[in-house]
Amino acid sequence: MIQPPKRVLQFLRWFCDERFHEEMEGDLYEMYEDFVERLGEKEAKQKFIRAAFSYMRPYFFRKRQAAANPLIMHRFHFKIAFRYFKRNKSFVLINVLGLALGIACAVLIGLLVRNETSFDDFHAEADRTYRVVRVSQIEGADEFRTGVTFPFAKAVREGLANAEHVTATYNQFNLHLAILNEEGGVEKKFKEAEGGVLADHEFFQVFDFGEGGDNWLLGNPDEALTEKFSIVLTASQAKKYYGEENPLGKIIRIDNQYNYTVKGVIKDFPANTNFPFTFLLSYISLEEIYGDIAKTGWTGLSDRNQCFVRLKEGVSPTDFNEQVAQMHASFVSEEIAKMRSYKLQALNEVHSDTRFGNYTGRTVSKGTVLALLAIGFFLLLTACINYINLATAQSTLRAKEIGLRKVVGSSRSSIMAQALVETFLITFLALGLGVVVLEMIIPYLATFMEIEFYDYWDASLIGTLLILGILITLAAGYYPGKVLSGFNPAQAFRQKISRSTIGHLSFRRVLIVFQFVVAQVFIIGTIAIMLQVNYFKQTDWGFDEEAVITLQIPNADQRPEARQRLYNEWLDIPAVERISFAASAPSAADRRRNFTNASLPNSGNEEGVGCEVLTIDTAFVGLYDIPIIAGRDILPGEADIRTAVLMNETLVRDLGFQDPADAINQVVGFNGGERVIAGVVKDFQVGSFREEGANQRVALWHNPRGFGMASVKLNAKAFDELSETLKAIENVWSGTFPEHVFQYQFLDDRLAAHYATEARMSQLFKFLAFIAIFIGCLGLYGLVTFLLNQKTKEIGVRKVLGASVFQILSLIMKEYLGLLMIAFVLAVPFSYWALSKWLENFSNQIDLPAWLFLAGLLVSLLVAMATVGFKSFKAASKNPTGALRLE
Amino acid sequence: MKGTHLGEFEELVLLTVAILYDEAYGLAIQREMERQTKRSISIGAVHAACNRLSDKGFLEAKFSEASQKRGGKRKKLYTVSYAGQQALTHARDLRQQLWDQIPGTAFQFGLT
Repeated sequence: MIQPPKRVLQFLRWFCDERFHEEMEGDLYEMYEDFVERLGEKEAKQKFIRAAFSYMRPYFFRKRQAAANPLIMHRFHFKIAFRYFKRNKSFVLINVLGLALGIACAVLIGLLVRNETSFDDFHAEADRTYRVVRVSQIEGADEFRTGVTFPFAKAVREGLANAEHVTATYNQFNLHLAILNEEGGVEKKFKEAEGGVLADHEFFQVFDFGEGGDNWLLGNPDEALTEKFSIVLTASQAKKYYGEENPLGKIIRIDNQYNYTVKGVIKDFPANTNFPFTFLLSYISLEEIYGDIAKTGWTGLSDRNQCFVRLKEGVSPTDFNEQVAQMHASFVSEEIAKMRSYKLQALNEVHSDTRFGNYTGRTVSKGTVLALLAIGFFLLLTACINYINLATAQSTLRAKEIGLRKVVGSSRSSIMAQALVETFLITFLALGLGVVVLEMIIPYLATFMEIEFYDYWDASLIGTLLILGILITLAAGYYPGKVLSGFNPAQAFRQKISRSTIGHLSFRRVLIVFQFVVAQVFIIGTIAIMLQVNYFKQTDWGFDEEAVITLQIPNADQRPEARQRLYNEWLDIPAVERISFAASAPSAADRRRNFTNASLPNSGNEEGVGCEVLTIDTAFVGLYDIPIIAGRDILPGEADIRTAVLMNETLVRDLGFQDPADAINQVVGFNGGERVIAGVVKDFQVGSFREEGANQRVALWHNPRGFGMASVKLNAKAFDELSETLKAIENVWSGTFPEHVFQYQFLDDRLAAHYATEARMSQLFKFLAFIAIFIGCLGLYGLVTFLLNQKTKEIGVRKVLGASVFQILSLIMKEYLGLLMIAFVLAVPFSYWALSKWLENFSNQIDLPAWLFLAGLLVSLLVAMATVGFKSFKAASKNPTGALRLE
Repeated sequence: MKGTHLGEFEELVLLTVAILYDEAYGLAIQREMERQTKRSISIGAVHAACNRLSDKGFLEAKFSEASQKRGGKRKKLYTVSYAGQQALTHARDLRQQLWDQIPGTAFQFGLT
C-alpha cells in the first residue's frame, strides 16, 4: 500500500481545523497515489509536500473557540473546586497538611542555606578579597592553619605592590573589661567571652561591611586604629557600657593590665560575618604587649593571627602566592620557608572550608549545604507525590463528572485547567499553613542549631514562595489533570473505568516506591548519625573527665603566690578532692599547641621525632587518672620538676623503645634541653577528633610558667550541694583575683563541644526525618482509605464466603510489602554511599553495621503497616451485611 | 455584503462543480479546472474555495460512502445549490448586460 509521508499529514492535522481533516487527507492520499503511479516515489513526495503546503492558508487554521467571557469560565472552575473540596474534606486536609509541612521544611532549609552561604558576601570587592592561609608540612603530612607571624601583614603591605589593601587581625577570647570612671576607679566589669579583635588601620579598607565606608558613627576613622591602646566599639556595645553617654575618650582596662582609650564607635556588624566581634583594638598595641616578637618574630605562629588581602584588579591569586613565597623566604630560615607555604583563600571560602577555621568557630562545608538542599528537595517531592497519588486515585470518582462535561462540549484543556485550579488552591492553602508552621519552627530551630535568623522576610523570600507555589501546582497538578482530561466519556458512563485503568498503575507504584526510598534513607541516616554521636559520647578519652571543673587562670596574673593561695583555700572546701594546674585541660581544641623535637643522644638520629608538649604539674596525671604503664609520675620536688618528663606510648615507641619499660630513666634531648624519662602513660586524646595528629606523640613536663588552666576535681559529696560548693569556689577566686570575673566550665561539657556540630546535625536530621516519614504516612493513609472505600463490597463478599480478617488484611498488605522491599533494595546502596562519605570526616568513626539497614527496613515496615493496617483492619472487621446492603 | 459576492476563482469552481455534476470532489475539481483553464491550480486553493462557497450556501456538500482507496477517507461531494445557480446566472447576466452596452466602435482597433 502506498503511504504518503506521515509527518506531513501529522503536521497538517496539527494546524488545520478538524472539520477539514477528512476531505483534505482523502484528496491528498488519492493525489499521492496518482503521483506515485505517474512520476515515481521521489518526485511524488516533492509534489505531495508542495500540495500540502497549499493548505497553509488562514482559512484552514484551527480556530480557537474563545469563551464568551473567560472570567466566567474561571470563576466556574473555582466554584466547582470549592464544591469538590467541601465534599472531600479528608482529601484536602491530608494534602494541605502534607504540602504545608513539605513547604515549611524546604523553606527552612533554604533559609538555613542562605544564611550559611551569605557570610561576608556584602563587602565591596569581596571577589578580590582573600585570606592568607598556611599549609605547613609537618612530618610529611599537610597541616592546614590560618595563623601568620606578627610582621607578616606589614611586610606584604610594604613589599608587594599587587596588594591594594592588607589588614592583620588577632582575636582574643574571654577578655575582662573594666569600665573606668573619670578618677580611674573601676565602675563596671564585663566578661566578654566572644572577645574582641585587634585590627590594624586598613581593616575597614579591606572590609566595608556593605556600608561603603560609612561605618563610623563617632570618631576619626584615620586615627582610631593607628594609635597604640585605642579601642573602637560597636554601637550596641557602646550602649551596653556607657548608655547614652558619649564614649569617646573614655578609658577601658582590659584584663586588668592595659588601659585602652575609646577612639570611635562603629555600626554593628551583621550576623552573617566571620568577624563576630563587638569591639576592635588597635593591632599596634601588640608591640607593647608582646614586645619585639610583634615586630620581628618571624617564627612564632598563632591561628588567631590572620591576614586579609584585597588584590589590585586583574592580579591573579596564583601569581600573588608566588610573590608571597619569595617575600616570606627573604625573612625566614630556609627550613621554615620550605615547611610553611602561604596561599590565598577566597573570602567566600572562609566559612565553607572546614580545613581552616575562622573566628566564628563554625564552618559549614559545601557538602553539608548540598546535602541539606537535597533533603529539602526530596521533602517537597514526597509531598507532591502524595498529592499526585491521591488526586489520581480520586479521579475515578469523577469519571461521570468529566464525561458529562465532555459531552456538553468541554475541551481537554478546560478540564486540565480545572485540575490545575484545584491544585493551585490546595497549594496556596498549604503555602499559607506552611508559613505558619515555619514561623513556629524557626525559634525552636534557632535555639538548638545556635543560628541567628535575622530579618528573613524579604522580597526574595516572598518571591521564592510564590514561584514555589506555582512550581508545585504544575508538578503536582499536571499528571492528575492529564489523567482526568483523558477520560473517554462513553466509557465513563458505562462505568468501565476502574482503578487499574486510570493513570498508569505502574507509574503510581513507582511514586510509592520512591516515597518509601526517601523514608528509608532518612531512617537509616538518622540512626547512623545518632550512632556516631553516641560513639563520640562514649569515646574513651584516655582520662577521667567526670566531676572536673576547669577555670581559666588570667594571662595577666600568673604569680605563683596567687596559684598557691587558690590551691590552699580550694582544698579547704570539703567537696574538693584534688587540684591541678596545667597549660590546658586534656582534649582542649582551643589550646595553644606547643611543638618540640625529642631525640636520643648518641642514637645517630639527632633530629629525633616531633611531638607536642603539654605543661602540667605533679597533680595532673593523678587527677585525670591517666594510667601509667611504666615508671612513675612526676614527683613534687626540685629534681623532678627540672628534669623529669612523661611520655605517651606512641612517642616512646617512635623513639625506638619496643617495651615502654626500656625507656625509663633514659635521657632525651628536647631542642637543647635534656630530660629523663620518668614514666610512660597510656595514650589519651590530646586534641579534638578532627585534629590531624591528635592522640599522637606527647611529652608532659612540669613548667610553672605556662599554667593557664586550673582543674578542680570534686568528690561525690559535691553533687549533693553543688551550688554551695560552686559558691565556695567562687569566693576563693574573687578573693584571689578581685578584678577577674569568675567563670568555670565542667570538663564533660567542654568535651561535648567537640561533637556539638554533629549533635546539632543529628537533631536537625531527626526532625526532618520525622517530617519526611510523617508526610509519607499521610499519603499512604489517604491512599489506603480511598482504595478501601472502593473495595467495600469486595471485602464484604469475601467475608460472606468465609475469608478471615487476617486473610483480607494480608491481601491488602501484600502489595505494599512488595513495594517496600523494592524500595529497600534501592535505599541500601544509596544510604551506604552517602553515609560513608559523611563518616570520612572523622578520625574515629563507626562501621556501618548490617543491622542498621535492617533497622531502616523494619521501622519503615512498622510505620507503613501501622498506617495501612489500622484502616484495613477497620474495613476488614466490619460486618459484611453493612457493606453489601448498600445500593 | 460579504455573503453574496462571487470572485472570479469562485465562479470557476462553481462552474466546474456544475460540469462534473455527480463526481465533484476536491481533487476532481482541481484536475478538471487545470484541464479546462490550462492553469496550475493548487489543491489547497480549491478546497478553500469549495468550503467558502459552502459557507455562503452556493454549494451543498455530502460525504460519499467510505472506500478502501484514499486511505479509508470518504469523498466530500459537492453539488451546486439553488442559490449557487442563481448566483451564477446573476453573474452571467450581469456580464451580458455589460457586453450589450459596449458601443460598436469601442473594439475597433483598426489603423487610424
